[in-house]
Amino acid sequence: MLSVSCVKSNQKNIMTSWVKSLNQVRYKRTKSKGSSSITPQTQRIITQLSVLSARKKQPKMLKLSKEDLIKHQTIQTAWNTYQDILQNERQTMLKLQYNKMDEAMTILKDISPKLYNQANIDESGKVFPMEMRVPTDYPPRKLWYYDYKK
Amino acid sequence: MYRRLIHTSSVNKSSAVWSDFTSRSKSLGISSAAIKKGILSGDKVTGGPASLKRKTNRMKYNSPELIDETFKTCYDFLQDRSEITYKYVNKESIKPTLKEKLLVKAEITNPEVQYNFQFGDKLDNVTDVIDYNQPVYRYLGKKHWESYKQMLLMQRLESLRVIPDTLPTLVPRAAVEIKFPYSTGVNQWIEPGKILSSGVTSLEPIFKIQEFELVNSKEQLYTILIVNPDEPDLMNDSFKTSLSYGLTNIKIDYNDNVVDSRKFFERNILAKYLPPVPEKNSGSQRFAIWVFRQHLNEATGQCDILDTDAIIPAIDRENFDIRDFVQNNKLDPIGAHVWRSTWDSNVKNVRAQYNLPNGRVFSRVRV
Amino acid sequence: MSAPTRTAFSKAVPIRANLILSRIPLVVPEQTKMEKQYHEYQNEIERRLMWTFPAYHYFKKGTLSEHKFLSVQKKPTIKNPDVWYPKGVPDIQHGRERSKAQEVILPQSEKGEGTNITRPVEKNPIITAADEAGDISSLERRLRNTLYLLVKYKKSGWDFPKFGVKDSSPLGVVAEDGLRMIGGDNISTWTVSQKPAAVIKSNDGSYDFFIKSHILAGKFDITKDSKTDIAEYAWLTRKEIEEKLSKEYFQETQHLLTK
Repeated sequence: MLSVSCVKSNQKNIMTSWVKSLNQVRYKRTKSKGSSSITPQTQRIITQLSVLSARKKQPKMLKLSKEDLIKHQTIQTAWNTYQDILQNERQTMLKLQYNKMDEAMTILKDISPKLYNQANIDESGKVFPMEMRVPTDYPPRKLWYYDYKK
Repeated sequence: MYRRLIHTSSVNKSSAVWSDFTSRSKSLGISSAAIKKGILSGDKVTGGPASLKRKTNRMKYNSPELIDETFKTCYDFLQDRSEITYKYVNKESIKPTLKEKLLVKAEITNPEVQYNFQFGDKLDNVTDVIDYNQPVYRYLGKKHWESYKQMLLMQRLESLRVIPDTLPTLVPRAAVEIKFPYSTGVNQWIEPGKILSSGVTSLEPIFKIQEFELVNSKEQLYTILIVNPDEPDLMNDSFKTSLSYGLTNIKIDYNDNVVDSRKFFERNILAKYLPPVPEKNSGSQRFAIWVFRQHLNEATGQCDILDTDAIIPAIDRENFDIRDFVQNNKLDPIGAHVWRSTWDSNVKNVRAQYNLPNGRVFSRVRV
Repeated sequence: MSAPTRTAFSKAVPIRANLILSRIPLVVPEQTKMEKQYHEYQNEIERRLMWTFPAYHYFKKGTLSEHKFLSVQKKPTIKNPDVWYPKGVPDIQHGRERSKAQEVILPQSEKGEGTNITRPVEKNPIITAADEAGDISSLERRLRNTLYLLVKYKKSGWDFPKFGVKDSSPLGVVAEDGLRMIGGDNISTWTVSQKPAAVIKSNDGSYDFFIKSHILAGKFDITKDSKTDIAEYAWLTRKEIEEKLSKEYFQETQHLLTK
């Protein structure tokens, strides 16, 4: 009897535990699925790649009205015309300088062949000196280096 | 040097060649006052660009920063350069071709001209917007035509073998457009090479010949021919060319250049229109339109008029030799067009309309 | 046959080497109104089309510096479905209004001095003391222009420094040595080429060849020996040279000078 009851109660226990597991409720997932698998190193690479990527970073396309399109084109035309003028001026100047140099060398050849030969020595490989300064937007604090000693 | 020049010129008062319309064509300015003001003096104050129709769109619109200030400087710069060109045009006794070039140069950078051309209709020839009497619009029109339509035409002429089947070749110099009367149901300019149904082509087409070159439009006369090089020739087991339509001594000018029944009379017709009536199973037939300038005598400035009374009896419409005709009459081909026709169920009606005999029905024969 | 006559001829012809010594500009030329406006306009368009600044890459999440940075940024208008936006519905991504240029503001420290990067830049004046004093012999004048050395000979007036070629040493060498003779040794120059850039034939049959050179450091100062010949010297721009030289002479040499 006892033994039977014991068995019965055991069975009941088993039954209830089984029913309980059936009624278990699933709540909304709070952790992302693979969060545990991403290491900080991977995350850093993901961030770095997303910095290079255009996704979500591109601005809206620039759409111009008819008026603004014409204005923009006019600005570009004017700029191109202006650059053309500067370029032409530079070219004519260079041409003139070349011709003058040519003339000087021709005359030098006639009046002094020795000087001509000395002037005509190949100077290829000659470079700009390191001390030469590139012009900047604003002057340096020390304008000129005077203390040059030979 | 030039940099310094610009520095000083900004101090001087700018010229106003582009805003003075006392002696210039109206087409060189924008007709809408609101848009003109929006371009020349900015539209931030007036509440958005006038070319946008809806007010909400105008309010939403943001123009690029600093565009108006930059535009003002650039406009003055270009206008000053244009003034220099205009001075040169007016001062020198120069050749007409050079003058044309200079006039193009003086106006092509004008934003108002660019607006009119880019957003105006290039086929309607509304002289207030695009006036092809102005060299600059002719130049722009030519560039526009060369950018697409000219290439399309040449591709169709070559792949359909219109050249060399009709004339040996073509250097296109004028834009030729065709259209069939509205009663036929298709009210649009026809793309070269299109296959049209016999109903559409049952009435004679309207031509539009747009000249871009400098021509003497007061004297110049034109001849238009439509030939069909695919007429079956059973005797020779080949094809022959027939003449579908012929007009001659047509006078057009740069703007008024649509050749329809108002433009010509009985005496201008070389051959009355015969609509395409292809016979069944004869395949598609090409209808090539050729436009010619008639010979202009350089010395007298007069154009040779084709004597229709003498020419018409000599024409053999069924077996037309277009190359001979062009050579004999000193015609200069400047433009062409082509469409194709095939047999369809409406051909019978068109034949009845023109009192033509019933067509043959071709069938394959095993030899 | 011809060789001896040629040498005889060359001996008879006096040749002089003239030196065009220039100081290149220290400051870039001034932009015209059009150039300035065009560059600003293009800059604005570029900023409008620029990608959104990825702040999350530069500032670690949850740090103080991130907070500092984000707190000074201007917040764009947020999209609310119940609100009517007359200037267009906001389109925000990564905290940026996509239809406008993004303005990235760097946080300043409380004192207003800023860090090394944000400290305001002090610009040196382009008009120098020499400009104000009108000292034409100074190398520190007219920083935007190229200056050329002109000397005033007591006999003939203002001219480029010129030196007679005697023992047929190269033109460039004659010019450089001559410069040190009249202007002292403490001068560093760089000769562009040994080839002359131009020649002028005088009425008396002598030839003036021009050699181009740049001054890099040091100072030109008239030596005691040459003070008998040379009254003064000046560093002048092309425009000023035009006033000093005769019209014909300037016409011949103007292509050598930059505008």
